[in-house]
Amino acid sequence: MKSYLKLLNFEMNRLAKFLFILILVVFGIQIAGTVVISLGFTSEINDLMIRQGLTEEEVLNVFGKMTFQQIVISVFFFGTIFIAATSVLFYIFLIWYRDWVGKNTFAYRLLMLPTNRINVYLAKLSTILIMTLTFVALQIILLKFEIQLFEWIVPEAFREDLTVSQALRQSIEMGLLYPYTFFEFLINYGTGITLVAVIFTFILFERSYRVKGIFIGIGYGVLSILVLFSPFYINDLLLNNYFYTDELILMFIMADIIVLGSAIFLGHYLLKNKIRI
Amino acid sequence: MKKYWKSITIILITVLGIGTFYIQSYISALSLPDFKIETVEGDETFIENIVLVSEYVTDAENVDEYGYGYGQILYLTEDNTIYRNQLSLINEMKGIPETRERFLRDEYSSFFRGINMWNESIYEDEQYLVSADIVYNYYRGLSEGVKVKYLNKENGQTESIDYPLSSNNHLIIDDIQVNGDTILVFAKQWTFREDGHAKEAAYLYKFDMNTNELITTEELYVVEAEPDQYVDISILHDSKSWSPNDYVVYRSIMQRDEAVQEYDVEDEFGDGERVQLEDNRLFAYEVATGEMKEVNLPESLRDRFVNYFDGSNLYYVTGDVDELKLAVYSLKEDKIINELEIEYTKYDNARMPGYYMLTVDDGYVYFHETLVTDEGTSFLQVIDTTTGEIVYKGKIVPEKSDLQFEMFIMRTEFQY
Repeated sequence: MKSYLKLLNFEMNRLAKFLFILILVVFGIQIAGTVVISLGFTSEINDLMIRQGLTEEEVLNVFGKMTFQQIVISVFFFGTIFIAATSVLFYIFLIWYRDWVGKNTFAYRLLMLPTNRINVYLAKLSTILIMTLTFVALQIILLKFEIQLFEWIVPEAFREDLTVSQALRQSIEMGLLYPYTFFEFLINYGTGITLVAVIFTFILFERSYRVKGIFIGIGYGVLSILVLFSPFYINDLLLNNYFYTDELILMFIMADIIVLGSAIFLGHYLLKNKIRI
Repeated sequence: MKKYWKSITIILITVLGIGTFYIQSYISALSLPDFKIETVEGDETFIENIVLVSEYVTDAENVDEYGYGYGQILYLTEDNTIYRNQLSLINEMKGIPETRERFLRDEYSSFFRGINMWNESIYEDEQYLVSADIVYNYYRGLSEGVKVKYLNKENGQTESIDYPLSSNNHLIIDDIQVNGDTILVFAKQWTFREDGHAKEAAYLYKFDMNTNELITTEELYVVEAEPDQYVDISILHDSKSWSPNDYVVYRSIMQRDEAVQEYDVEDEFGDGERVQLEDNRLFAYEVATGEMKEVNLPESLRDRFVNYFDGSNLYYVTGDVDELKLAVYSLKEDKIINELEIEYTKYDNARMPGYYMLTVDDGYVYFHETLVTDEGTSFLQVIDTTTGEIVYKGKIVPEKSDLQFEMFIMRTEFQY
């Protein structure tokens, strides 16, 4: 456990700079977007009221009230979510390959550490999870600030206020990141971490068998996805929808645990016996 | 410890951010108020089966502070308030407690395996539970057969009947009824034309529960359109699609093409009555006798659309905007048997179109104002359509009397 925590801390320290810059970029764009869109709206209102002499009621008839949703669905917001997601995906590969690439082959030192090699795997996996959840948590905290900023800029008469919780559920994509219940949260992120573990094991296949490993890894990845979602299509195609949705969710959780366990087991096996520096 | 500060900070932000968010959502959900239907007069057994699907809002002008969009969806029964967002995911997927779906899931969970229990093709009476489905070939785009499954509640036996279809193109099941030992499956078949439906036919498949075989197929009614005509046969749905009915009623309409667009546009706004149709007739099939007759409506109701149907009577909303009159037409007696005038509270609220909602079942009207406020002027009334007497009247109120709120009742459902 101590070795795992040390390795996790080591990975977190390596991540910190990357994460800090990313957070600055993502939330900088979001705040800029909030200001630009809110100011754009207020200047249009001012234009109609001052230059064209429309009353408040007439302006509301033209535009309606502005809500924070208009910012949430804008490119400033969605674009940053995309940037964050892409960065996490990029880091999933970077966290392994940077140990092999560069002047000194760091992987050699890492694997020579007097600890069980599974700790290396688990520390990297935990780092990706923490990185993702940090974005998710910071978004909640910063959204509060962004909503406040919006309320400072747009006059009360022309806006309809949303809570953080409502703002986070303005699209299906956001609903996936911030589900209603904690149980759904665990399912969504549990599936996410399983998929990351599958990618990790794919990377380890490639690092173990090189070009041949890419094909083995692809085969393994496809098989894992098939097993993960097997309760749904087996029920649909072979069992004529015998199971109820709640039963399927429980089976999906079981499949998730099996795929995650297999990925970690295989990853450990490859790290221990087959990995090449 | 010093060298761990970055990790500890990141993990703390993560745990506190997400933890606070979900704890806050949980506390908000728990703080939602309970409601009850407080009996003013009458027999409470009339509402033991009722579920009022509603939306609770704290302030109709603004969004609420809890979670979902504008309000919280709640299911109000005689003695229970169930908020959707208080349910666990698994509980919600089983079906909202105390609703029809959940009732079926709990009572007949093995019967409904492999069956879509949310469709219209389910029948239930004291002795039988029946479901029927079309076996559809998605590759060929054709209906290939009818699959009937039924449970005899007395002996607990489940039987299945598979009947292959030979030449049907497209078939949908409209209704199921049982007459003695015979299962009646009402289905509609149509053939397409580029500009609409060319031919529509109402079919009746009769299955014998003793032999589990098809007895006959009857063509109840057929309409064929000329090239510039639009035709449609549709069944009148009642508020309890699964219940035994005395009659199954079809509406047949025919319209010239140039008016089709007008009909569709008008219909989209739920105001089909204004369109002059070339032909607009009702046909009633009597389940007990197997006879089909054209409904001979009086002049005052002819060409109007039926507002409600309960399997025996047709209900038409008449009267001016500010008064609610309900003409009850008996299919058995072929005449208007009653005209009710229902008193209700009229709110000046623009959020919901219409001020009241009503549902009919088995000769009773279940009526309530759409809007419920803290003024305590919203009632659930059950009215006997034969006598016009109010057999139950209850007030919809919060458990905590000082609560300021607005609630919109979206629909009335029956559990069984």
